[in-house]
Amino acid sequence: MSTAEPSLAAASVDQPAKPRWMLAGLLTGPALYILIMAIVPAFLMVQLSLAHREVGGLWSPGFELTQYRQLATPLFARIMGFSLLLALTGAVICVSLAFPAAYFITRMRRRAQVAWLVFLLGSLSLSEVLIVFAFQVLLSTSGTLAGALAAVGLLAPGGALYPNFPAVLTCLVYLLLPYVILFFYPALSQLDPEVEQAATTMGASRLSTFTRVVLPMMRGQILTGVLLVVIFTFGAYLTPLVLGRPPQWTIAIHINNAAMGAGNLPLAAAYAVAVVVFMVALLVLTRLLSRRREAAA
Amino acid sequence: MNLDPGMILRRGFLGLVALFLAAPLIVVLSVSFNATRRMSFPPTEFSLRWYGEFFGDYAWMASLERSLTIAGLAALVSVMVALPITYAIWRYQAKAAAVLAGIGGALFLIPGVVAALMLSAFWGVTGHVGRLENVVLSHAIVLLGIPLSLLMVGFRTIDQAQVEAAYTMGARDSDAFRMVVRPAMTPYILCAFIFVFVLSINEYLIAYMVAGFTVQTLPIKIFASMRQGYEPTMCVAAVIFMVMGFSAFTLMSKVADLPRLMGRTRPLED
Amino acid sequence: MFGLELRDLTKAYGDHLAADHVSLSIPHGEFVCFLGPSGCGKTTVLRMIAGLETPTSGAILLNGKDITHQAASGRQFGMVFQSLALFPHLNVGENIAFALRLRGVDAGRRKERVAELLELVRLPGLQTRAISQLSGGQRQRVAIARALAQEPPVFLLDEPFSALDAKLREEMQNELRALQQRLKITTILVTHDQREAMTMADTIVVMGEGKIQQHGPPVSIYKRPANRFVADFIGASNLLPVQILDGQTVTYGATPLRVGATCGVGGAAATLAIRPEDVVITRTAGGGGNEVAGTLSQVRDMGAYVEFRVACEGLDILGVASPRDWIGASLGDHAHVRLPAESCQVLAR
Repeated sequence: MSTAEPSLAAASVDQPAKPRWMLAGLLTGPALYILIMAIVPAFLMVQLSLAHREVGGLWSPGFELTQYRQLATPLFARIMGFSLLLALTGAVICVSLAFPAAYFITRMRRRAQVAWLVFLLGSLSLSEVLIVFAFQVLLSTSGTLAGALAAVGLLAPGGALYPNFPAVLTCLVYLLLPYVILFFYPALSQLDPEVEQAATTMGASRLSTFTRVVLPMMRGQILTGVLLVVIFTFGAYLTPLVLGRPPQWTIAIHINNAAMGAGNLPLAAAYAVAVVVFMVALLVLTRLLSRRREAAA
Repeated sequence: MNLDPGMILRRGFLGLVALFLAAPLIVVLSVSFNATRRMSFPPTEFSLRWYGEFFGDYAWMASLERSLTIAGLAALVSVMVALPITYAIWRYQAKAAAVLAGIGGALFLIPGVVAALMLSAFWGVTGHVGRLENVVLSHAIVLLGIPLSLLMVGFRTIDQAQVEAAYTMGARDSDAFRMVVRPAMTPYILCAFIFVFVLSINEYLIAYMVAGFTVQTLPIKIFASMRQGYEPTMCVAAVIFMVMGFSAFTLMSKVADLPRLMGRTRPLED
Repeated sequence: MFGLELRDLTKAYGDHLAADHVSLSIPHGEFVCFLGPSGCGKTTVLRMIAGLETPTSGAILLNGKDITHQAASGRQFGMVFQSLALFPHLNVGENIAFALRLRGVDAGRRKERVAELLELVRLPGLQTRAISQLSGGQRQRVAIARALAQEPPVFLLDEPFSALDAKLREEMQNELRALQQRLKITTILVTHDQREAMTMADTIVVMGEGKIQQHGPPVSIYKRPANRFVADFIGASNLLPVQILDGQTVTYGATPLRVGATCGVGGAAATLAIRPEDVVITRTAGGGGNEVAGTLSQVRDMGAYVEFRVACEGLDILGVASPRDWIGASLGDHAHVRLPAESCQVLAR
């Protein structure tokens, strides 16, 4: 899906006058709402991460780095390391499935494309709860899959297909695949077919057209797609919780446990701030990477 | 129809992707029609028993109603916030509106758990906890990126010259909006509403962290049941989600040009 | 045969025939323009020649060899696309060297060839420039150089200059023509611009409704249109409904007109085509016959020439006169128009 980019509408020749009161009337409500519901909570979270923890799930305002010190522990490093490993593995699988899928879909007739879009949007919007539950049914010992695998001897009779790393990974790929396909959809559908045809008239086979023209042209998009998967995986909560074991728990579960279970909101906030900082760093890195590539090209 | 190897490869690949995406749904769907209480797949005997039980159960119905209320209100709020912002960007190239849209888009990109924590801390501080409107307002802000991007797509389809033409014929801003902008935007507004509605009704983590103890939405109830063990009515709840989602997007494909809505501007022949 | 041959080439999209039994021989080294209104099937024919479209029936032969079912990547006819289709992720040199890399030409030879081609299209030294930094005309030249890099047996261009402004377009047309004559490469260009076709082509192929309407040297197409469609599409024409009287005479209303030759039998309805510049206007009847009387219904003094319309027998006849020959009449004046026999062309209705 195309994320909201505040790109301006095509500039008209004649700019209409901007009556300030008109803009104020239009934007005051939305601005207040965004201020209260987005900016204030964000500041609050930062403040919370620096607050002093009191007993019984309470906290008092302060400025201490107690919680951030906990980020320097091997435990936190391990959690982040695992989250990143899961995210990157998921990203590689997702992007390498989603990119060709989106490419093929954009080259279909309208009716088939619309059907695919409905299918993708439908499965994308399904609750993580529901998907996890479905996977539980699918992977359960009494399910067909386990039975079939046991029958061919790949699984001990009565053995379970979860909780484990592959189950978490498969479910995450499932959750993300429609997102990533829809993310690639606009760019790939915008690709001028004449560009590919030009490659063909110069002797390129279909495969080399794809690898030498389509893929390099979409380098930036692919990188951003990977980033999207990483962000989503870091926020994934139910999948690792239900289909994984504690070693496969992502940062999201630990944040939730700190906040809801242990009642240590400042620690949860510190974790969250760390995650956001990490995300921003990744974003900047991706931008730099694609810019350098562009400059080199 | 030519069946060259490339075509077979393409069809096969897409077929496998579709199968992967459909498999869990097919499993849940068929299990929901199973007569036995034990979870078993493939189902042994067809029955609508669990549907009857689901719709007769007060707690399930209350959750469903709550979820529908939240989703409807959240969709309404986020569309009503996004509409003036995108209109100001399109009509006046207002920088302030672009900044607001940027914040909305960024919120959509932060990990769900972080958003959930931020918002739960916020409601905690206000002392206004465990209320339905908390979930509504929280969903509306987190999902704001969707109406922002869809409405922007919609506005871009309106040629500014059309509005200018209306002015030259004596229309004021409000007339131009009513006669030119609104008719063109109606399908996009509807689609934005549907999209937010569907995502809100499916959302678990934010609803849970913001008001989960008192406001039990359908996903929260399913998850709570899951923790207590398998219950066939859960499958029915799951099927309701699927039916709602797929019919909402089918409806969307009827009222709007779906490929365009998803970002295709290059013309597409039938 | 040495050259390109199209035999009964047909392309159907459902019931619609985009190309309808197109047959044509193009000798080696000739410059051919496919000319026609949009939707006439000219691009479809070009794409079938390139191998981008599979013909429903018919055959394409290159130097006597059937290549109908050869893939585009095997034919390697260099093609310049309407959108140019330059690769945005590659620079100028890499774009031009694309086909050479695919063939495994070594780096040194590639570099030489790119320099050679850039010289040829008069863009020396631009190897490392990004596509986004080029002007419209430069992009055009890069696209031409890229298509020529593989030394294609046939060079194809699909409305390549339509996005350029008038002045630059003319410059590119002259340059392409000169380049083609230097390289002696069989070239097919598709256009809807008759000026473009007239200035560049050895042979113009006029297409309409999926069929070849006429083909031949530019001047003969202009002077001797084969049918109503061509007369109407190429240049301005007066198309008058007439009745055939005998082998040398037709009647327009009540006026008998001598013509070079007629087609069809006496009494049949036909169309008389005459170019505006062949129409002669006089104040009084000249007595030499082949004249129609009427009233002046429009006068436009364009400076370099005067355009006029004379209403005769319910139809306006359009004519052009040089300022020197202009009779100085004004709107509503009585006038006579002479339609010289040698300029009158009788076509089937």
